[in-house]
Amino acid sequence: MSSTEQGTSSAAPAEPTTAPESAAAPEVPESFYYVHGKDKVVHKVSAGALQHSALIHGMISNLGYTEEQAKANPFPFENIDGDILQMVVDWCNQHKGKPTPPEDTNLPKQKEKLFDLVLAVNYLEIKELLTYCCKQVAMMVKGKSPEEIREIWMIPTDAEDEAAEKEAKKRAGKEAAGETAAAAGDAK
Amino acid sequence: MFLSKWFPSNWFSKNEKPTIMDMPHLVMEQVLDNVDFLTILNLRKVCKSFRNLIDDIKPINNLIIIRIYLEFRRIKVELVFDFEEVFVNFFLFYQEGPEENSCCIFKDFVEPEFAVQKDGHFVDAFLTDFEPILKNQRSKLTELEIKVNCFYYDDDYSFLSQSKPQSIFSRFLFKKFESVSTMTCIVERRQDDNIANEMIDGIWRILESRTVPLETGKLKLIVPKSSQVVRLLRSIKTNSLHGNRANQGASSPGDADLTLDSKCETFKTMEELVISKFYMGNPILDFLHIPKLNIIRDSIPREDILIIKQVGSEFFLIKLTREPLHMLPGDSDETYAK
Repeated sequence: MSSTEQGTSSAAPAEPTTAPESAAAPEVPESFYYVHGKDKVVHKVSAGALQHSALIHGMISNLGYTEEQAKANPFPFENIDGDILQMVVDWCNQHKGKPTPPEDTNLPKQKEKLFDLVLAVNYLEIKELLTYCCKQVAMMVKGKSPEEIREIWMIPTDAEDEAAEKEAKKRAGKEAAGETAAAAGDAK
Repeated sequence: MFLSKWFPSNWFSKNEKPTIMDMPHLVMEQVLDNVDFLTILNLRKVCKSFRNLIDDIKPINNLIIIRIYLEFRRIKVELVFDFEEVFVNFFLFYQEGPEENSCCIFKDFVEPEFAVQKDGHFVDAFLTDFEPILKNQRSKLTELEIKVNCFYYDDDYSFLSQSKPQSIFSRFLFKKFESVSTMTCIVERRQDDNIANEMIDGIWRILESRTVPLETGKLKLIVPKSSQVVRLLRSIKTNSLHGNRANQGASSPGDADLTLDSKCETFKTMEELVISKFYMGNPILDFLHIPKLNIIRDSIPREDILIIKQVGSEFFLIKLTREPLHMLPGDSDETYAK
């Protein structure tokens, strides 16, 4: 199943099968689970595709999540943007049950998206996709000078870091002072 | 989260896009393992946090061969990289500068005018540059070579103009009065001796400070003293050692007698041992586990010959000799007497 159904969690249309676990006999029709990201858009993913994610696979097999429960409560991933989750789900569907190729060229080229994807993939523990993403991130700086690397990876200089640290300390100090003042006010 | 403690938590509010600094440690490890050796060196220069991260992770890289040659007043380093089965090499030179206590660093035989000039001795400049490289090398090298070859002057060497340029006339003078030339030669050799010892001590100190010994398939050492072989072998893990003695003018009596530590882990797992110009002092029983052996001894007891006969390995070559092995061309006993 390569389609990803979109809609609100309550209106998620689905044809849940009786097989609760992927470990069941292969003749049994495939089971489906539902996930949603920050934008609450629900994606329908087959159990086979979800095998890629160690996190979701662990949740399904260890917590004994049944199909009905899964339908009522889609896996919530509040820390992952909708479009990134879509990308991950698409990848999982494409590579369902297939040996993964050594190179994957369909990864996003914009660095913000790629970093988002890396964080999401790392969270969902999709090992193969993480390997590709890391290679892609490494390729960004291949043969670049320190200044170029700093620009590409958006790394602050040591001076900027120190300034940021000082500001943070100042802010923390102010907050602490505010709190003590408020506490004193309360006491009065 | 990597380095997130530097920043107040509200800095990366949900609207903010993540940067490389937000990546978890495990992800960074995987990213850095995919970055090639030269980019890693550039990455170390980006900022302090990246330098610390790289020194901490010690990423796997594509460096496979390091050859360090101490030549006449300069160090030549050859690095070989493996870019997916394509081997690329380049040379780095650390050379004595035109002024006193200065050095020039350049890459790949460029014209000396383009060399970077720095203060300090060239050996110190080399050690500073190679400390992170030798310390962070996690993946196994195929070859490591340390060769001291500073006692010959080769006409092919490209030299920077020295503070006191030798005129053709002075060269002619030196040629004519050979005694003068030998005298200066001996004085210079003593200096070169110190440079050689300094360089090897520096390399050894760097290797010793590693938590895991440096691994290499082949180790080739051409050093002036036998003690240096023993010391370097303690902090390098290898299956094959080629040891040779550097030619040199001044030497103390024990320098040619080499006794390897039989308890040393590297020696126990050795598969090939080829030692020339050093006289091995170990009892023959120490070598019986090594399949490929080629050593020199100055004496051999009768029992040892019987043992060798019993083993009967075709690769077993032991030479009995006590000839002066390190005579330089043009050297004579007279020179030493002076």
